Amino acid sequence: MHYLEKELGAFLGQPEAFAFLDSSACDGFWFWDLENPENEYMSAGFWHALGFDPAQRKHLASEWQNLIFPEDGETALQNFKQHCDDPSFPYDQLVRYKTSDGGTVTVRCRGVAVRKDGVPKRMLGSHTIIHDTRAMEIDRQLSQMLELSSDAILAYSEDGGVLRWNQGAEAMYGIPETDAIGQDPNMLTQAEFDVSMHEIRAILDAGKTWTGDTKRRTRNGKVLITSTNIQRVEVSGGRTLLLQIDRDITERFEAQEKERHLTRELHHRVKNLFSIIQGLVRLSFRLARTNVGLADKICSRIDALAKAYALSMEPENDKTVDLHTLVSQALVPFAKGEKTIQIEGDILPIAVNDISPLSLIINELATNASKYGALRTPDGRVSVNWGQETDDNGRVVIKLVWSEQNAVPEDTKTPKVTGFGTRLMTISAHQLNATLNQEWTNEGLNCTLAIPFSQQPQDRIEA
Amino acid sequence: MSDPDGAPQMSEQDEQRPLIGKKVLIVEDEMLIAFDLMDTFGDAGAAAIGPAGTLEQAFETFDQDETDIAILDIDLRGVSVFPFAEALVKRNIPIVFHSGHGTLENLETRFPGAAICPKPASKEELINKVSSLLATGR
Repeated sequence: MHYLEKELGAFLGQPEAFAFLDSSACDGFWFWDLENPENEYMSAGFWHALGFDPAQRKHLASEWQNLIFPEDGETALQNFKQHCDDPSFPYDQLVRYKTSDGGTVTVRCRGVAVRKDGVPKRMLGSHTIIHDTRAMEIDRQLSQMLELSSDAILAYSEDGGVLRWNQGAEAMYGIPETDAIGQDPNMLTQAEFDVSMHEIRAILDAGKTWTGDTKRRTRNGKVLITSTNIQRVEVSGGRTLLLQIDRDITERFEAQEKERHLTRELHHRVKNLFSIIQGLVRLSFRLARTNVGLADKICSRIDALAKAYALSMEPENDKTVDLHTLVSQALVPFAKGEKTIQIEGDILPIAVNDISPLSLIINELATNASKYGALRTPDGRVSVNWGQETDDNGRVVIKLVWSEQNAVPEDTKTPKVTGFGTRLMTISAHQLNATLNQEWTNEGLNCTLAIPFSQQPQDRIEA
Repeated sequence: MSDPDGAPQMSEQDEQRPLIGKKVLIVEDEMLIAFDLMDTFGDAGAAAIGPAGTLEQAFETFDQDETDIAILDIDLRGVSVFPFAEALVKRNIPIVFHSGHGTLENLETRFPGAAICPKPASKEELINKVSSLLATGR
């Protein structure tokens, strides 16, 4: 006899040997007293395997007989009888037990009768769990959960195409599972990855998950952006499967794109505004008669530009602003009494691009009137009127008339609007494609501005 | 550019005028910027032509014999200046793009000879770019 066999025989006599067998070699033992058949010892391993507390058990045959499926118990009993009659007939069958939590386990139940003088006195048996349907149940529930997901969840092989295509994928791509089976899912959804397939394969080959945004198309051609995860898993026989989850992030992606576009647009506007202010300051200096009060004048013009900008940014002024609103706002810094400035005219739309030059012209007229004209005197009045007309060239224009009354007579003898004020008005009129006429009367300045109806401004160029 | 009486003396007037005799076409839809450019190049000795505020005006104003170089804003009230720029390239007239669209990706590949002067640009920056572009004979 091999010395280890001998040692093992001795070891099996030790109590710890039984604990080992009961917990590690199989799923429990039973030992039945055939002379008192109600007594049957069932090991701790046996009860643990079925989910019961061994300490609560009484080791009665009825305990297992209540848990076994009746038809399986019948088979086992038949086999037991045959084995008792004929030792060469094996006691060996699969039986199903109910577990403590209502599940089912399938057990291989084997046993041998211990005989005295050929008469069976005891029956020794063991259990081996073959299949735990509780695990099956969870698998099925998990599988059902995949169907609940609004993400597209798919499994496919690199050579055989789609094997599993959940309802989320059907809904997302408008492609039923039956049509997807066997197809390459990325061809099917016209996937455009932002990296090469070579790079993706390298990541999968390294056993890692590839994650990235992918442009795809539904069956009817709608473009989707998905956040995609792909992982390669090994299945039986060294075969591999690819598992893929696509989440539709089109809305989020579009919102981000819009934000990026708006940021670029804002950036462009700010740079343009800096450039305009730069031009304004340089022109103001170049044409100033004197530096005295120049800073105030420049600030007043920047203020007019800032107000015009704010007006163009009002949500209701997406494409146009009402002329009345524009004129009133431009004159706010100059109105002394309620009756000083009268504003009257039709409701007419001014294109947002025209807000700044028109505001600057009105600002210059009012500045000039405050310094030299009607707004300098307590009795002075200014009226601003406008209406729609057809001019001599047949153009439809907005004719805006600025007229001053009760300016101090000696102040009206010579035109006082000179230098940059005039230049700025000319430049702004140029921007509006408008004609500007100024006339000095005893009452003050009369200024007529004919602005052609602007075309609707187009959107800015995409940067 | 006649200076009004008593205008403050500006130091630029004493500086050399590097662009004497050069004809500079200004295309810019913001007139405050446009007229400042006109004056800036005028001060530098150039004959400033324009300003053209729209694409149509740019084509109308343009005279091959009267243009040594062009300063182009890119976005003219929502219309791209590129068709005009392409016309200039065909006639070998150098271009300086003066724009807030500083990051237009295809600008350098589309107009390889052009200079780019992002807004807001200093007077010196503009004049230097124009001078060096004229000097290289492009």
